Order: sequence, then structure tokens, then C-alpha cells
Amino acid sequence: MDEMNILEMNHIEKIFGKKEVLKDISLSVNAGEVVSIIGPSGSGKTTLLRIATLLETKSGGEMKYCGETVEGIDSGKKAAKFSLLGTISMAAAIVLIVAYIVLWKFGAAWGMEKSIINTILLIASAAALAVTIVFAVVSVIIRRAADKKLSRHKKRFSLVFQNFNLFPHRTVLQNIIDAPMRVLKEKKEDAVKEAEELLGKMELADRADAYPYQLSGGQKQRIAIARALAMKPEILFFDEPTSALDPELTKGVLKVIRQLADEHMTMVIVTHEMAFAKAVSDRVIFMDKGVIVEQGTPEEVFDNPKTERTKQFLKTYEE
Amino acid sequence: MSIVSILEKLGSGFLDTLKIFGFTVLFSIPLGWLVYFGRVSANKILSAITKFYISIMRGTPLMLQLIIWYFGPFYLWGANLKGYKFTAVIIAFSVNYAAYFAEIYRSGMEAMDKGQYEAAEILGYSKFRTFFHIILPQVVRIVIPSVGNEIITLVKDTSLVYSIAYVEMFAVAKQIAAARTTILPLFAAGLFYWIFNALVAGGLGLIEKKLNYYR
Ligand SMILES: Nc1ncnc2c1ncn2[C@@H]1O[C@H](COP(=O)(O)OP(=O)(O)OP(=O)(O)O)[C@@H](O)[C@H]1O
Ligand SMILES: [Mg+2]
Repeated sequence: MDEMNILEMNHIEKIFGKKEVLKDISLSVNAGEVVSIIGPSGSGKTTLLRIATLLETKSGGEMKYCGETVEGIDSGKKAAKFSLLGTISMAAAIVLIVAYIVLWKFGAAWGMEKSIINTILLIASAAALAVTIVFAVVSVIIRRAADKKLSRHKKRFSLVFQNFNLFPHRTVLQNIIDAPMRVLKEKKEDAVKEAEELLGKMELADRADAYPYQLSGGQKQRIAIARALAMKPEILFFDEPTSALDPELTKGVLKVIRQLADEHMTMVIVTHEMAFAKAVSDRVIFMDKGVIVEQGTPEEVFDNPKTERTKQFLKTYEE
Repeated sequence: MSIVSILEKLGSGFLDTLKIFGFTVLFSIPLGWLVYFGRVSANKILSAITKFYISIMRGTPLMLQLIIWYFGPFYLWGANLKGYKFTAVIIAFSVNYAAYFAEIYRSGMEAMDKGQYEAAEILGYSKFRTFFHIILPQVVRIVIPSVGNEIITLVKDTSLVYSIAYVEMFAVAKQIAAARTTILPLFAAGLFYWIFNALVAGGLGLIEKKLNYYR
């Protein structure tokens, strides 16, 4: 078994306002592993995935992809500081310019001769404008540099959303090939060929030219999975991929995910489908109130839960 | 004066109406995006200034704005600009309509699903590409009916240039009516506006239909 570490999260914390949503979460995912995350509503599962996929900033802790620490997520704050300074100097520039114009237009009427003050105001407002521009440029540069650092990590993962988020104005094929072409700079023929293979795998080969609205929810989700796979991620995250689907449509999507598991795709799956989690996972994580309460093999967690909290939660899924 | 010669005169005036309409649409639609981005800028000063600008544009009569744009340079600086009248008209109309468009764009952008941005981000699209390829095409479809309403209003608003004695179809109609004491040219002018607006509305309907290839 390949033991290469794909994702490592150490002591991750997340605070929304005053609410501590994630408290000291540590987890690690190796290549080829399938990890399921279960837990009650509001326990922080989505937030954890959003932090892992850089859609959300963390409040504390450290994150590594393939052994490399993810840096630059928090440089947004640094950039924001510079834009704030930019705003302040812009305000100064405006005040100075207005003062200069007022003095220039009405100074004589108020008995003030054109004086050194005019010149000083003019120079000061020009300086304030220059400072504004410098701050704006610096904040853009910081953001750019951070984006560049992050883009390497971003290519390593993809995320499948609960509500698909396909692009409605694009056909199925366009949804799949656009990012490989624009972001990975693949040639169109290659991207199309891959897309067709993926569509075949999703049993949707005949829907390449359909628009998302013409598909069922289950078909949409399989297209979303194909779109994610087309980017060749090393790890694929799923946030309740079947929660928006009718039970009959759920099957097809779960089947596809199971197939990916058989091919040793590295996956982290947030789900409420307990039987599926038990069947497909190498490891199950039970989260509650922002902490990992218990984790282990499916047998350990589902058949012999150690904590009272896990037992209670699993009970709600028994008929 | 025969009906034919009335229509001829009105027709040549109508070209001026068309010119105002065309240039205003051309400038105000992109300018509206600029105003929109100022309005939603994270820079508080920029967004406050833009908000103030929009409220002035929407809260004062366009006719007043037109007069200020035209006579302003003279009253403020004693500038005597030759051939400035048409420019003043286009500036006044463009910056006014841009404010309306900016607000329409804003409501369109707010209607966009956040998931679209997030999907684009996960796929690694740049902000630029996300806006132009994912967001804008969808927002255009959302805003086209409201933009269409403004454009139809604009056709009628062109007659306001009468207030700074800019001669276009409406002014011509009024001149002829006064000189010949006949109401006919006014009716004819109305007919011109009405037909033109029907064409504009038809065109907009076609665009709308074309954009409705998905749900
Ligand atoms: N942007 C936000 N601002 C403030 N609070 C938030 C935000 N996002 C999530 N929360 C809060 O964080 C907590 C965890 O939310 P999260 O969506 O991660 O839970 P979840 O485990 O995914 O739940 P579910 O099973 O219902 O999807 C909730 O209490 C939620 O209200
Ligand atoms: Mg969730």
C-alpha cells in the first residue's frame, strides 16, 4: 500500500464571529485512502472541507498537501491591511485636492493671495495620490504572489458540491473540458477525448451536448464528478454528494464513487449514507460540535463505537 | 406643407434622435459596469462616492442634468465651447443611464448563486475568467429585461435635449407645428417614437429569446 501522505491537517481551528466551529481538528489522508466523515448537522463537516479546499480561511492550525505546508492563505489579511492604508491615503488625497480647489477658486475673494499654501497643498495632494497608488499596487502584488503559491496546491484537489454547481449556460461537454483547457492548458482534442472517457465511465456518453437543466439530479452530480476528475486531482472531496437527490437517483452516484474507490482514488466523503460509508471507507471519522469524537475502521466505528455520543448518533440512523 | 415633406423633415431629425440613442447605449452599458464595480468596491471611499453619484443621477431630473452639463463649463469657468452641445448631450445621457444600469447590474449580480463562484474557484479559474466566462453570461440573461426597459425609456428621453435647444426630431416637429398651426407633425413624431420603440422592443425580445437556450 502506498503510504504517501496527501493531506495533513494539524490542530485546525475555525471561529465564525464568536462561534468556535472547529476546535483542534487533526487528520491525515494517505494516497489511495477513502475517508468518510459523518456527524450531526452543524458539527462542522462542511466547514472542514471548505478549509481543506481553500474556500474558507482557517483561524488556526496548519495544513499540508503532499508534505508541503499550504502558505499564503492568510496573506489576504496582509493585502487587506494595505488596501486599508490605500483607502486612508485616498481620503487624504481627496481632502487635499478639495482644499486646493477651494483655495484656488475662492482664495482671492477671501483676501488670500496665491501663496505658498497653494503650492504645498498641490504637492501634498499629488503625494497622497502617489501613496494611494503605491498601496493599491502593493496589495495587488501580495495577492498575486499568494495566489501563485496557492495555485500549486489547488491543482491537487477538487470538490464535489451537494448542489452540483454545474455551469448552466454550458453544455455537459463544455462543463468538463473548459477547465482542463484553460487552467491546465490541455489541447482541445485531448480534453475532449478525456471528457468522453469520463462520460462513458459515468454512463452518460450520450449526454455530452445536453445542458444541465435537461439532466436529472443524479446525472448532474455524475457530470460534476466527471468535471472534477478531468482536472486529475490527487484527492477528491465530496460534501454530501447525494443529499439533494431522490433515493433512486442516489444509487447511480454512489455506484460511481464506489467505482472510484475500487480504482484507489483518494477521497474524503462527507455523507449521511451510513451503509455506503461503511461499505466504501477505509476509515470513518465521527465529528460532533467541531471536534473529532471518534475515528477508526468502519467496523470499529459502526459496529463497536467507543463513545456514548457515537452510539447515540448511529441510533438515529437505525429504523 | 405636404405630409411627405413633413415626414422628410422629421426623418432627418430622427437621424439626430438615433445618434443620441446609439451613442448613449454604446457608452452607458459598459460605463454602468464601471459604476457597478465602484459601488461594490471594498474601498469604502470609492463605494461611498459611487453611491452618492448614483443617488444624484437617479434623484434629480435628467433635464436639469442636461442643462448643467451644457451650461456648466460656461458658468463655472466662463468657457465658451464651440460644437460642445452634442458632446454635452452624450455625456449627460451616458453618465445618467450608467447609474441606472449599475443598479440593474447590481441586482443581477446579487441574484447569482454563490456556488458558481465557488465551482470556478475550485476549478482554478482566474477572477477575470470567472467573471467574463461564468458570471457575466448568466447575469446578462438575468438583467436583459430590465436593461430593455431602460433602453425603451431612453428612446423617449432623447426628446429632453429640446431643453438645451438641440435640434432633433421632437424639436423639428414642434417647430413645424408652431409655424403651420397644425398638430399633424406632433402626431407624426409620436408615430416615429412608437414605431422605433416597437422595433427596439422586438430586437430585445429576440435577444432575450436567444439567451433563453437554457434554464
Ligand atoms: N459563513 C458562516 N458564518 C457563520 N457561521 C457559519 C458559517 N458557515 C457555517 N457556520 C456555522 O458553523 C457551524 C458548522 O456548520 P457546517 O456547515 O460546517 O456544518 P455541517 O456539519 O456541514 O452541517 P450539515 O450536516 O447540516 O451540512 C454551524 O453552526 C453553522 O451555523
Ligand atoms: Mg454540511
